[in-house]
Amino acid sequence: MTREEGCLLWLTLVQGLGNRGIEKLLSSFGSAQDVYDAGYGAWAQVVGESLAARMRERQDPERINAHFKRVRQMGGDILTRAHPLYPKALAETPDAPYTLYALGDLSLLQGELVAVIGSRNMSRDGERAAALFGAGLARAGVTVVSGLARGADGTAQKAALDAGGKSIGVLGCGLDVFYPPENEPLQRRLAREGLLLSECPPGTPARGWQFSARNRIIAGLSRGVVVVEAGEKSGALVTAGYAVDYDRELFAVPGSIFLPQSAGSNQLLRFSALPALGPEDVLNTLGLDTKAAPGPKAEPLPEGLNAEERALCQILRRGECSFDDLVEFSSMEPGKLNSLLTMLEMRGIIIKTPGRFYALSGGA
Amino acid sequence: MLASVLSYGLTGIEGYPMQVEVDCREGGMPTFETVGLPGAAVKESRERVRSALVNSHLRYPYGPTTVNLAPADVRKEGPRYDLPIALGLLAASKQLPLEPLKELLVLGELSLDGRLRPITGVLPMLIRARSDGVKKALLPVDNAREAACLEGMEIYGAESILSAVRFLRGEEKLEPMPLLSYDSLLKGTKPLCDLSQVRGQYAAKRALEIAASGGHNMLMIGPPGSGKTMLARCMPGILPPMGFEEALETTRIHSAAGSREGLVTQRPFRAPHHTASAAALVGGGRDAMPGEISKAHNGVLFLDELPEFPRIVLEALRQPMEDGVVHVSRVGAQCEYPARFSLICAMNPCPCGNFGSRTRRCRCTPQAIERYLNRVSGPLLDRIDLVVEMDFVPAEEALRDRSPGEDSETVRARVEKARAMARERYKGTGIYANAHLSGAQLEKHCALSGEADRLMQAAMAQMKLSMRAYTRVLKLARTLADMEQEDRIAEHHVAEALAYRGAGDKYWKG
Repeated sequence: MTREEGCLLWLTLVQGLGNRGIEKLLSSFGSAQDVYDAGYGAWAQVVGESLAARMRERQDPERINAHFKRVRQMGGDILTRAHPLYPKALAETPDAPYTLYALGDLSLLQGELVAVIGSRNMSRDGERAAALFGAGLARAGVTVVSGLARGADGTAQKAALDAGGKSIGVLGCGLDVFYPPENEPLQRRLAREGLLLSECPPGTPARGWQFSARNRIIAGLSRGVVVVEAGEKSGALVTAGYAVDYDRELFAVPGSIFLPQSAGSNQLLRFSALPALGPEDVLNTLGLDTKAAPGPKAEPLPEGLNAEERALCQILRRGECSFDDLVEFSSMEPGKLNSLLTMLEMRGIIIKTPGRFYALSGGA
Repeated sequence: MLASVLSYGLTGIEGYPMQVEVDCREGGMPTFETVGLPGAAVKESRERVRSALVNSHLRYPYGPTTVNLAPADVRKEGPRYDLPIALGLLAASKQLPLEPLKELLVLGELSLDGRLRPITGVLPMLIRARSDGVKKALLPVDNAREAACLEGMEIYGAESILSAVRFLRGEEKLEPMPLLSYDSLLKGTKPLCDLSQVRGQYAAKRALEIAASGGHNMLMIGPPGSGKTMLARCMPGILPPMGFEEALETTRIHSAAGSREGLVTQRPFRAPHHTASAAALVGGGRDAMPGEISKAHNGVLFLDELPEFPRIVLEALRQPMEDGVVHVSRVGAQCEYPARFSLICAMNPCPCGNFGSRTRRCRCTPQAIERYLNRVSGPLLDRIDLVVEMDFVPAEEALRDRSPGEDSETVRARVEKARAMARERYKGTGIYANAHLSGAQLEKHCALSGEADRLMQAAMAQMKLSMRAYTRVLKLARTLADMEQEDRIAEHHVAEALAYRGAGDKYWKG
């Protein structure tokens, strides 16, 4: 760690200073080292006495070193703005973090980065879209960036890893904090097979505002941002906003106009987002190779179905159905239908989603 | 002079014969003593009797008076001995002949003006009296109507003590109550709720029919407003009607618990609130009164919002569900109440109820959902064969699009056929429905072969069914075969049975 980096690290560890405070200090003094050397009186003139007092309290090379060592010991890295590996695209954004904590494969930062994001509460189709884009982009060699949240984020990243691709998870908490808890296995896997990033020091608990702040990192890192599904007030829209501000390509996957889960992503399409009907739309626009990315296509019905099973699959092809809908559409007895559905489910041809909706399993 | 009047007492739902002995001498200190463990209401009887007699222009005998309630070692409660005490007093003071009181069962509460008020618990006492060989009973007229369904007993209803006295003196003729036949009572009953009123929810309706056919307990998982309660209310209507003996047994419980509605001809539907205590559910209180599960005897016990019931309350249901009876022991009494009921439970898929909805947002975290589901007692779930997920129906759509479907009567006819098939098969084994199958019987009657067996094996492996889940599926498949009047369990029976298990497995892995 160079002296400049150490000094930057020191500044980010001063509580309450924030990005804006650091910016002010740097513009007044030139470099972080100059800030370090300027002393209390000079700081107080720029950021006020209470913050200057905190800076003085934190100004302890041993503590900074110890912090650095702790991060190294958990296998992580600290990328300050002065670090050669600090992502260039991010550095160009106005509010880029001064330090990034990283755990995993740093070389991923040099690749093609595209964000795939969406709501936590997804429709079945949203989930399929997240998986489709996650896997499709990953197969084309793109590194999928996302927030490792419940719902779309996690689904896309898991699909990317499962497809043998790479993924970067940007966290809103410390790298050693597991949030949401059910994504712990995925978070550990990303640390091994991909990369985890956070601007918060290890141990920082999950707090709401940090998550919308990390959205700017997701947008800043990526060349393009794909919103697979977002409700009207989804956090994914915040990321989309940053993408527009930072001049990134913004894509949205069109959803049903009747579903509240896709109200937000459809709004994006109305304004500036490009429609993404499959991973190749994203790849084409970004000028990347599309060969390895299959689009969504209507898969042929599996072989060996009898007439009744075929009829059911034909109905489900039009979209997911509730049990009552199936009874109405197929005019089968409920008992008979239940028995058929179980058989199809056991053969993996259809799946049942929470709320007792049935869908064909093909496609994702 | 000494007079004795036959009356009946009640412990739990069992009646027992009781003699009201009155010893009365005129002249001397006017004392009144009631002995034989009288409760407060029995002690106060003296005041009501005196006023009633005086206000009816009968003579209240002044002198040392002793009333003994025999057997003297059982505690007596309630005002139901007013009339026997009054008649005893009159007989002891020679205002009434002794002869007509012989072998006449007398019960009734007096008001101060001499009119007779109805009492509770008449039917269990009369049912016992009838089997003890008592042929005649004199009751308040309201109770007499309630008891009119009992064959082989002359029931006289009196309006007031005066008309009772005139009847016993032979001055006035009272007609015994005309017998109400059980069939005529049955005809008058209408189900709580008819299946045709429930639109859509085909899966749940089907499950309800299966539950009724095989005596299975059932759990419905669905969002608020999907019709869980309404469906549960339909259950009594699709079960076969109660036989006379069943009706009597159920009536005894309800009557002992304070109902005055006469013979219960309709299968009871009990829906205790989830704040109910264990004692309220299984029975208790100082006098070991019957609880909800006994009131649901021969009928349906509906537990809505299952996870909201305290675990300890649900655990208390296990033993009675197994045995069909519950023993309640308290300071005042030890009683055994029958409690054989169909259990129907309902719950939301998550705390907010919107999990899985396509139109409403669920704000529950996965942890919150898991905590919610885990609140349900595992051993209780083991006794529930049928788990069905409700469809999420937006209200307006449900009313517009879905056809009403069959009515309860049609379904009940099928249920009776299926039940008859099971009864025939289990003749002489002591069980009568598939839900009660266990061990060797299960292996004998639910043997799988060929396709059905292969499917079951595949399902066991793929769905990771536990042994318990396996037996539940077997029992359900047996019922499904019965519903089609088939001796052998076929592949499609197993497949359908798995559907009702699968829904549960998604929520409770195991």
